[in-house]
Amino acid sequence: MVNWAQVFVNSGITGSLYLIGAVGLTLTYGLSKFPNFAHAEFITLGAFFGYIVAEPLGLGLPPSLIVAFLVTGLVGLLCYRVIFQPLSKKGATLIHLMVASIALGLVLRYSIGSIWGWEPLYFKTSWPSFDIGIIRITGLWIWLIFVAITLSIIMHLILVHTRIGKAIRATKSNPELALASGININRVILVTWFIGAGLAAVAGIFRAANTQIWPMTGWDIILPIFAVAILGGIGNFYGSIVAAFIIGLAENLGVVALMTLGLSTSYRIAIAFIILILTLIIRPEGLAMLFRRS
Amino acid sequence: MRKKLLLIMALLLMVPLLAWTPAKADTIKIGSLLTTTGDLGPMGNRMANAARLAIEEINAQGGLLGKNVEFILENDNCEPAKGLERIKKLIDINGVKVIVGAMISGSSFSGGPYASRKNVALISPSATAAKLSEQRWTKWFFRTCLRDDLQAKVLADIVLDKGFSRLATIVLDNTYGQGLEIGLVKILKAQGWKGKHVAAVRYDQKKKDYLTQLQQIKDSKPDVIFASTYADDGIIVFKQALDLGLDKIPWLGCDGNYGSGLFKEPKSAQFMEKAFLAGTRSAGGLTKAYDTFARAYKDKFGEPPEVYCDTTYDAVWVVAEAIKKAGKYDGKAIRDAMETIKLDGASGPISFNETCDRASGTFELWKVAKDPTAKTGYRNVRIKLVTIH
Repeated sequence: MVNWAQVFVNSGITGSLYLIGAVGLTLTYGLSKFPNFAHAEFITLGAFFGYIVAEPLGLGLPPSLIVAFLVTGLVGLLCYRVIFQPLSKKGATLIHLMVASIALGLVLRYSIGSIWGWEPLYFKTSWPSFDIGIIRITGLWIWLIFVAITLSIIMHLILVHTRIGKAIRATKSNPELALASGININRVILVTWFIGAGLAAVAGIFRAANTQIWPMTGWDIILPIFAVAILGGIGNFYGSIVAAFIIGLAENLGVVALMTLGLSTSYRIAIAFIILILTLIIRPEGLAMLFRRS
Repeated sequence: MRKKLLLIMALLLMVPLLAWTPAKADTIKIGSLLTTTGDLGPMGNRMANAARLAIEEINAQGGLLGKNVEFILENDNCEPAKGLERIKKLIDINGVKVIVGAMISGSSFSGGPYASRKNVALISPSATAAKLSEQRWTKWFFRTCLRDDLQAKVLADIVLDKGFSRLATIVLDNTYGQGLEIGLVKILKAQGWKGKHVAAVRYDQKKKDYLTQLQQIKDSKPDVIFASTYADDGIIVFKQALDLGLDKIPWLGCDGNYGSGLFKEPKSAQFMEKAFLAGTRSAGGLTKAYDTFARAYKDKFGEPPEVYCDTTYDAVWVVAEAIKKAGKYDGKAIRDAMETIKLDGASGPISFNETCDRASGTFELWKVAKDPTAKTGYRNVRIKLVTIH
């Protein structure tokens, strides 16, 4: 018998991870108008920073999340300031910026590899497991879901109630108008890159603590994260919440279906890819329409 | 005068050339195809060293048929197509009549038919795919390693012995993992097992999250779980299995999850210590011959031999004995002699059955125990040895 309650909880865990990973991607994509493939390396970099704080320094999970958020956020901000902003000013198109981001990703990935090595590392912290009825959950997953929910609430409050949040939304929907209204677009974009890379780091830590950490940690999950960003509608935060849980659910139901059909669960990764392609064919704007204010 | 001097000098220069050519024709060539680059490169290079050690010993004992032995090593870079090309090169250009290899099953499949047509026998130290024995050319394909299905038989015996009736499997989605899973279920059915194979997971080594697959296994309520993993993916499987409370069900393992590599992560080690009823692995290193080999290897290369070094070393010695017995350097004669060879090798007693596979082998049943003196706090300990025919 399939334990459906557990399948839904697992989907929530998968979805929470993808959500945290996708927010940064979708916001920077929405504002800077190009997909940043080096986002995968922000995830990896964050995982390594978090690992250092949590393990060799022994400070535990919460400090590692905060430190990794800040440090990786700064790296993201610098990457934009030093590479993408000058390129944009020189009139680089989407293709140029995208290729530059792939190159940046490669440089970061192999630098990480030569600094920390390619041998996988593991978080040593042991999380207790609980049985709640028929559902089994670990301390780490509770943290992950808690962070995803907190993030959603904070992002919502920032976007709706703060000046920078309003500026982000304005810049996203119409940069020229935003500029004309006296919004410092460059500053808004820099803030977005900082937040985006910082959140990628948080996703990286959770992924690493749940599995392992190595220079490909981010690359291992970048495909479903892209699928979330595109299904949710580029630049649309609320869309990505829904999309993250759709992809999480699809992957987990997919595993159940594949096993019932007697197929290899290696095809699991293909599920996110199929959703991605179908979205692009049928509804390229993703779920964004659902959240547009009339 | 100057001209004459030059002429003499030129003639003198040709002397070593003349002396060298007949010497070259006067060696016995043993070809070899291993994988010495890529992921399997480190393992292949160690195996090549084991072969070199054997060649050196053979030459120190006076070579074969009164001639020195020349070792010609080729690399397939883990690509079956390249393997065939290298085997053609060894046979057609170097003129070898017997080849130690291929290291991987893929190149054995691609190169086997060609070598057999040219009357050149292959002897693989490490290609374990059972299907290699079902080919038309199996009489030209020998192995000093043990087939995957022999290991599956040891595992099946445990399942039958303990009376388990609900088997779940979680295996790597590759020839190795699938081979063990299919072999295990097939042998169980053939032995009249009444149980059910309740869940079968074949996972992608690269997708490092197996929570939902493990949950499916848990929901299928197995009374025994068989896992075939490598080290880094195995760690995640076992760590997540612990998170899901799957340590209450007995697990069976195999050679892929043997070793301290699995204990790098404390949760994985803790899980294996609690849940593993037994694992299997080929029990090399039991004989005096192995100790002698291991010492010589370490003296020469500065590191202890690792997996499949002993079978490579033995494969070269089997070839040497076969050439001696054949009395001539001829492919057909060497093959025929090889079939009858009996040898006490580093990897144990060697003889070949009707499909030219190793006729018997000894496996070790192991489990994981706490060991405060080990770096990781855990180590593998032997339960017992099982010899299978």
